[in-house]
Amino acid sequence: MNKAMMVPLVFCFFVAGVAFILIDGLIDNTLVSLTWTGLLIVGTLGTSFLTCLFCNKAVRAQNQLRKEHEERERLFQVYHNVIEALTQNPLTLLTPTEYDLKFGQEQPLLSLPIREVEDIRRCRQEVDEFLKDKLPKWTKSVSHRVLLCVSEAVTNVIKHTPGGRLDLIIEGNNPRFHIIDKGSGLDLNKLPYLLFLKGYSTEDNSIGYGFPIIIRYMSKVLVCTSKAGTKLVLYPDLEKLAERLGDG
Amino acid sequence: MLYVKVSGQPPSVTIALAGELDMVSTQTLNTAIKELDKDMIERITICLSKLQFIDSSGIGQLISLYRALKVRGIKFRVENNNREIEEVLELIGLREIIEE
Repeated sequence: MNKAMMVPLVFCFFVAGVAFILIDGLIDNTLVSLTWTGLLIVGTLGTSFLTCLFCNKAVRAQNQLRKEHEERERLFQVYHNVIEALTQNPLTLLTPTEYDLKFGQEQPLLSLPIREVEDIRRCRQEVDEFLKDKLPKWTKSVSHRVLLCVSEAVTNVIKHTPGGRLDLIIEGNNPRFHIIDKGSGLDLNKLPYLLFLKGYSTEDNSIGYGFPIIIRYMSKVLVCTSKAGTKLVLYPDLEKLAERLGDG
Repeated sequence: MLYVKVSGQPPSVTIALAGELDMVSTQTLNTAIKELDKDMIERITICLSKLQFIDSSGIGQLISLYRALKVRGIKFRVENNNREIEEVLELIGLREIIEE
């Protein structure tokens, strides 16, 4: 209930109470009734004061939340445009709604849990095992670079979040990886540093080179981050990568 | 799996790494380094030529090791003739960091 509704309500109680006891006092003409009137006035004023105080706090908290949300939306839009321009489109920010519309109905061919450090290596091995007979361009040198990016993304989940999963989808002749974590989301204020600055990390004990490596080898990267976690989608183009590496 | 082979005698020791150097292998490398008698060593060479895989966490470990040894006045060098590994080292700028 907001302040605008509470104040008239308390005022009505006050007027009704005073009217009732004054009428009662006039009829009985006793000192007791006047004392009750005084107590009611003091009580109602006290309640009004406390109500206003509480409502003011709630309104301030609501305003603060709204401001934070607006600031997050504004930053998201700015970074969305700047990052697209800087990376010449390999990296795009998605809202959770955009992500769900794009991938919500998909069923992965392979889904691997990311819970403990050993899962970093397990993810690399299982992805390699799964793809080596399915994709003609999954050569040693190409797979090495792609698995490096997968390793970086999975390591980030282990280092910075409580866990998540890796989903694999094949689209034409290329794999697509979804690295989904249950963390608290990336800090949008730190996003440009995290994405582009060598050696930047949100924690002192990790080196945080993951993103520049991913951007270097992937043809497209989507990032969807919110307080419910982060979803990273990696699109390697195996043929283009093979050409770049001189394997084409 | 990471395999660590220490060769040479103080004051100059070579540590050859084979297999995969990533976040999973942190403990293996740390244990091997702890076992060295660092008071007698003046130079450590890390050889990565037989390494099959390295990622940013693995390189992070090498940088931490370099910084720890530098404090003790021990010289640190990285040797490698593996193209795929060298590409990641270059991408991260390891050689610029250890030659700072």
